[in-house]
Amino acid sequence: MPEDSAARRWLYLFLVLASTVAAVTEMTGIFQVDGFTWREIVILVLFGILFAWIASSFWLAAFGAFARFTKIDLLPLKPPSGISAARTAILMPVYNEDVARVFAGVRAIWESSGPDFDFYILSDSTNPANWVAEELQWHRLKQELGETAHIFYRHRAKNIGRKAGNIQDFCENWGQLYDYMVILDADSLMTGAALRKLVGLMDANPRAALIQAPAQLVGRHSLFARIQQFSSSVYGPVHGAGLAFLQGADGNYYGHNAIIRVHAFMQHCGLPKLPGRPPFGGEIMSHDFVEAAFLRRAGWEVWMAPDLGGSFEEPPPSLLDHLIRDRRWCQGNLQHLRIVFAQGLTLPSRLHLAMGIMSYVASPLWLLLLVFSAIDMMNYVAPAPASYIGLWPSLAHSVSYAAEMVVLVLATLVLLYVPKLLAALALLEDPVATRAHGGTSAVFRGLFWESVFSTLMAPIVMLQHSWYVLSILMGMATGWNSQTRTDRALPWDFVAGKFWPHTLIGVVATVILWRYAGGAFNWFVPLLAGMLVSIPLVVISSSPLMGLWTRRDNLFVVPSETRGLAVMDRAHALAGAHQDLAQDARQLVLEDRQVRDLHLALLSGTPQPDVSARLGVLRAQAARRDTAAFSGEDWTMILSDSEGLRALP
Amino acid sequence: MDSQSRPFETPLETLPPLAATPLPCPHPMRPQSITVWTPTRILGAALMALFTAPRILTVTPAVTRRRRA
Repeated sequence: MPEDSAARRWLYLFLVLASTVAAVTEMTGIFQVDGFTWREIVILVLFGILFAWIASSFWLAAFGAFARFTKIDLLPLKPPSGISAARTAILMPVYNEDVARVFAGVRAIWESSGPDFDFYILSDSTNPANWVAEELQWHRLKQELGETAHIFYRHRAKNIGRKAGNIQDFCENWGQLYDYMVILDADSLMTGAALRKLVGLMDANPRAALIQAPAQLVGRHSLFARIQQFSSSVYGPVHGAGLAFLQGADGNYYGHNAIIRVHAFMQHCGLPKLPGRPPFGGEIMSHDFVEAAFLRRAGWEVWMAPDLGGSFEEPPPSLLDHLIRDRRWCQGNLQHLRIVFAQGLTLPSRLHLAMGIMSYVASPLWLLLLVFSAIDMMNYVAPAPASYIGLWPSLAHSVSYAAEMVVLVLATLVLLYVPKLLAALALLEDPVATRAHGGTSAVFRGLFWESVFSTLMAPIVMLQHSWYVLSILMGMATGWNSQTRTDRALPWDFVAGKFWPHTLIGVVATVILWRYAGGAFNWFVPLLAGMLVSIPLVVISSSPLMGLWTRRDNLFVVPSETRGLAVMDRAHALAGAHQDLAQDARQLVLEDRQVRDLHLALLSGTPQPDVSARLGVLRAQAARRDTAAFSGEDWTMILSDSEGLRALP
Repeated sequence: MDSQSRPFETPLETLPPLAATPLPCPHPMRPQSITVWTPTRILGAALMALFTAPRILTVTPAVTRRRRA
């Protein structure tokens, strides 16, 4: 079986390389007629790299479609047998998240999975209001579900190592109690059936250290989110099949919605600090790829289960939120430049890391290609129709390379859009799935409009990613902010403040190309259009109203909308029924005896802050309930001060 | 690497009355090494292989260690 995966991978690499060589040869033929300029050599190199990049996506989809059409078993593991005796912890690391949402998700998963699993809400929240609200929600949930529910809550005073450090802290304290752990994100949802299947698979396959259940995007209502959900639902199965078909046991880990063998993880996935300062040194930000690579290095198997089902997450509600998240991922992935050549890693692990890096580096390369191509077109000098060699006239025959250029452009379009078509065809093979997506016509309409949207979005993302890469190369590190996960229509002025550079670049580029590029201007129209409409595109696509309108028009429909999704509907209902506290949760610790007792009980083990003059002042103010001027740090100090809280009247 | 083997069976005791977690069972995770292949290291490894490989590959006569009866 591993030999099969290796043979497929070599075939895949050969096809990517062959397509690239063919395209570069065609391009070289166009350039070499009147000799190469240095600009043309740069263009050729950039073109080769980027063509290989899109060819890799195309062939991945082609392999995925082949696997779907031929119904190949994509997870060749022994099937689960019998009832598992293993102990599994479900971990939900949270960091200043919407508290009602987090606990609604936990409860919905618990109700779906039953009492067989232990749940850990691992809080790294630095916002004191979130911290106390989480404690109250946890206590309420425990009371409502009773003693059979093993739902635990832990708050870290310092979020050392961010999410990876949070998981490591769990492993170091409670990992020995469990065979497996399932890592979730704050917006993850998994069904009990999927969780039990994962546990059964781990039981039956003792060499498997990690099984990734690809998460389908569900549950948001803005236009942007609905388009992402549609893409995930229609293109995701073919993409996932392609990955699983090629990876075999050399899979990857996406940081959540995966089951992990705890002792393998504890033995091999302790993350080192990289030498130097951020953005390239320090804590490893994108820990998941590295952990999968470490497990493979140690000989464990890492699988992907594309057909498991029952694994979900929510997409960012707007393009702006999507890009904000990308800033962190970009830094994390570029940091992998320090790891991709680490000793002992397997070649597929290196490819995973390299592709993660390339997914961001491709943008500045594309931008450079466009700039150089535009300059080259502007500097094009047509040969004179007649010149004289001595006394004899020499006529220049103009040679057109339009046909070759059209071939290249068509090839690029095929690589970009045919994977979408293949995915749609694979979907249409299943009448039930087709109906769940609104029918054949709805699938093709969705495909068309998604393609239009992603084409317009591409240059905006290119500019943004290029800036991210440049800023990271200049040594500018990013922090770790919680994500916005709720639908809201972004205001025009706010979006204009963020996206005016994209619009300005679009305007300037349009004027220059219109003035100097002549007939070549038309090649740039799709790119320029995306930049010029960036502000309205972001505003309109963030609108839940537009999302609702397209839903009524049977556009971008996904199964979770047409058939419902019990675990998601339950989580939404619970979150919707949540009543916010009448009072500031922090203040309740001071004023409500029961809340304070609960907080103190959960505070055991948290280091007492050093007694300082500042703490003395804060204690006195807290005793008078004079907290209006407290900063976030003051609240954290006073809420960590168990001695002071016990002494409160 | 047996999935069924656990370090030990520990009941999930909770601290009465309001413990939010089971009793910790501390066990540290060691940071793994990341030694990058640099051109110097590749050269060093190649040289090392050049010197050590012939020694490993040298055929030595077989020696019977069995005692005569």
